[in-house]
Amino acid sequence: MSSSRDSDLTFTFELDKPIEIHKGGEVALISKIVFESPTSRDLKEVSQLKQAFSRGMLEIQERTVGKESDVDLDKVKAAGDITGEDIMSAMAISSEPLDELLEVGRKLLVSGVGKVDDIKFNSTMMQQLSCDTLERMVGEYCRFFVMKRFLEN
Amino acid sequence: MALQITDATVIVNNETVGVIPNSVMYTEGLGEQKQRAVSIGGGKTEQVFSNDLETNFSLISFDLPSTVENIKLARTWKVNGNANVVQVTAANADGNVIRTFTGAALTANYEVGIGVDANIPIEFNTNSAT
Repeated sequence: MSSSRDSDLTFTFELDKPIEIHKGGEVALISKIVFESPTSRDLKEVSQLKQAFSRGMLEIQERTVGKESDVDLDKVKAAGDITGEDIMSAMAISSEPLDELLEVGRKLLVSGVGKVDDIKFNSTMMQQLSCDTLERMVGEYCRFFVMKRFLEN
Repeated sequence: MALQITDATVIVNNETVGVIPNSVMYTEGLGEQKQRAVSIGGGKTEQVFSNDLETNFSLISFDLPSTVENIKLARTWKVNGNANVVQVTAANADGNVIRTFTGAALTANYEVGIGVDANIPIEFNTNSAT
């Protein structure tokens, strides 16, 4: 259950539970989804996510200045191992509406940026995922692409 | 009181398709069986049971409204030969029924209706449902 960057343009997301896909007239179990970086076609969703995450992260940083916190983004970033789960945990305790974020994330992930065994990852496949997996997937996608510059700075 | 199942989700090759209500029908693909009597003398007979394996396949049929997208979809399924998969999920408060049909082919020369209320009747021949 992990994600790995393949290049600047793609990363592979490993599912904790395989999903069924239809390929060549047969049903196959697949546990990896390859995601590509968003294009200008996804501008709306990417902008919404970027703004919401930036607001949420800044809010938490301001709130935790000089205080002990479960989510210390600076420490995590310094260690270079921030995960999608860290991002989503941070968002969950911010005032940003998580349901709206996940909905935007879901739209983005089925817009054509994901491929499952060379087949477009779509909303029918998405329905097989648990809420936790969807949340982690949105977090990882933001970590690798949407929030990349924010996290690097 | 049991509830009749009336609502089905049809997925073909990973895509959910919108079908005409009350048009979904399938066969389980358990085939036909025959029973014959054999004479064992003394006016008595015994039953000989057999499975007609030639009939061990499923049919899954439904109607699509004649839209440009559906006409393209049906053509793609036809061109795919038997490399299609159909999945049907029907659920109500009593539970659900999920059937998967692999190796599905549109063997018939299906018709495409053009007009108000016109449909495309789709019938896949498939491996036995699982």
